[in-house]
Amino acid sequence: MRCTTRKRWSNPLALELVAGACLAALWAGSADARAVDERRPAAADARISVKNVNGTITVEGWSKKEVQVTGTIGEDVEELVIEGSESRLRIEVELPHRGHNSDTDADLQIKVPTGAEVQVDVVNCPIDVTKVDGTVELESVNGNVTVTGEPASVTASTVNGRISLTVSSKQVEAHTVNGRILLDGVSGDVSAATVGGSIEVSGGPFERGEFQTVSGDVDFTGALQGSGSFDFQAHSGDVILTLPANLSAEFDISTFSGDIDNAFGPSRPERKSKYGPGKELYFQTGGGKARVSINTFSGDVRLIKK
Amino acid sequence: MNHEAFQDQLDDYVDGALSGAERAAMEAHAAACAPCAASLAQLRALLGLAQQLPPGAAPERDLWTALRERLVAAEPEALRPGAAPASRWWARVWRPAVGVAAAAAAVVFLALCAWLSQRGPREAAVDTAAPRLESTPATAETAVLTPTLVAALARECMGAGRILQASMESRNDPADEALTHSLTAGIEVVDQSIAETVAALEKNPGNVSLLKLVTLRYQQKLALLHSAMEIVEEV
Repeated sequence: MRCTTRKRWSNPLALELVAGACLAALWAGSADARAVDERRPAAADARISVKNVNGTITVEGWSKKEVQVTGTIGEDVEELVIEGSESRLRIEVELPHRGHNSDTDADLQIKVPTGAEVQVDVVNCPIDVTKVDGTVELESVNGNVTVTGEPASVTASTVNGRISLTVSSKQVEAHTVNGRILLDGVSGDVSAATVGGSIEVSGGPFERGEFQTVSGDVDFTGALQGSGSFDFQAHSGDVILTLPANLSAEFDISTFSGDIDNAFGPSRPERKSKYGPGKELYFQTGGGKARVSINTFSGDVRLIKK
Repeated sequence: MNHEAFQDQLDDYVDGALSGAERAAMEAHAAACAPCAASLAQLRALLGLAQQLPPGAAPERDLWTALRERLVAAEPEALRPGAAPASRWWARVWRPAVGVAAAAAAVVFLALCAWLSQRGPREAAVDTAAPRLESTPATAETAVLTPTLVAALARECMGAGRILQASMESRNDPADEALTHSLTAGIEVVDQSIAETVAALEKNPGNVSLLKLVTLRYQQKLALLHSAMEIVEEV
């Protein structure tokens, strides 16, 4: 079933009326947005996919076996498509293929069953997801991505924007080009990569981790599970790990020109070879179960006892 | 011999470093195992490509052009410039270039990694799957190869960057401003890191850890450029 919120341009009279209305709206300083209020039945674990170009997308879990879409769509939006079955629903904001359209914003608040699997793909649009327990996959080009709650797993990416995940998920992946990555309460298997932003991670226990930045810092706080593998890489950013005092891990640290400050053991890094990294530090603490590798070019490395 | 043992000894086999009996076992396995035979053929092809690079200086031959010609020849007709228009106007400019650029970059990168791993000590290989810094002494050859590697990767990035820039400029869409700004800022950050690493490499020629770092940074830049191309194509 398709939603009926659609522009129709086939009638010339309608076109003239709309053109007149647009002029009037411009005169008044704003175009008219159209209100949206749609509902569809949905399974408790339905897969909901959302696509939008401009505007905002908010997704919230609720106890009903139903999807509700409310909000507004701009005058130049071609169509809001809501179609699919109870187990698989597609919500897509479609824009005209041609012409310069000034009012293409779609600000949608979408309520989904708590157990739903949510996939959002947008362009110039922040995404906010709360109270969803299923798998969450979010992708924006320009906009912040925010998730709170207990999703089974989260994958989030944006070119330009902050990624903020306050979730108890055991599998989290976050990627951004410009923007901070904030991961709070996460555990299990976590990976984050950014070019120009910093990465802040807190939670645990962590089973596996991979963190990469170029110019930003990595600030990691949490417990490492035995036999886990953790890799931290930064170019000019610092890598700061705040770890429990009773940690059991083996560390392999190297930096070309940064400093190494270690609260867990040997603090005097060596230069083993003139062809190797500027400074290297290898040590074990508490039996050395988890494996931690840290590499920087000019960023400092600091290991802090919690 | 099983697959694992074959793969373990593949490098030594192509280097001619195995004994007669080991070589015979490798050949027998390759004759009976299509995937391993394919691995061997692929490695030989990459080495052949890499060996076209003159050591010690940036290659005079334009790898980009040569690879592009070769890859375009193998490209499906629909993806070549001048083929039937794609659904989006910029895709006509973009799609063939993306395919060629990505493939060319991948081929050069793999070839160079393979070359290094074959010619230098095993530890000197650029391990892209699990990048780690190793305190491995460089061989004279590694030191000589450094500028070649850097030059080839830099050229790939320049080619991809030019294509991206041209595409963004030809779109001339005000809505792209934020995207352009973001991508440019990201690429500038990586460029800065490359410049710093290359400067350190110039002062420490033959430093394997720096060589790995600069290679990884270039790879990161290429990945960023290719992601940007994909985004531009999709938006």
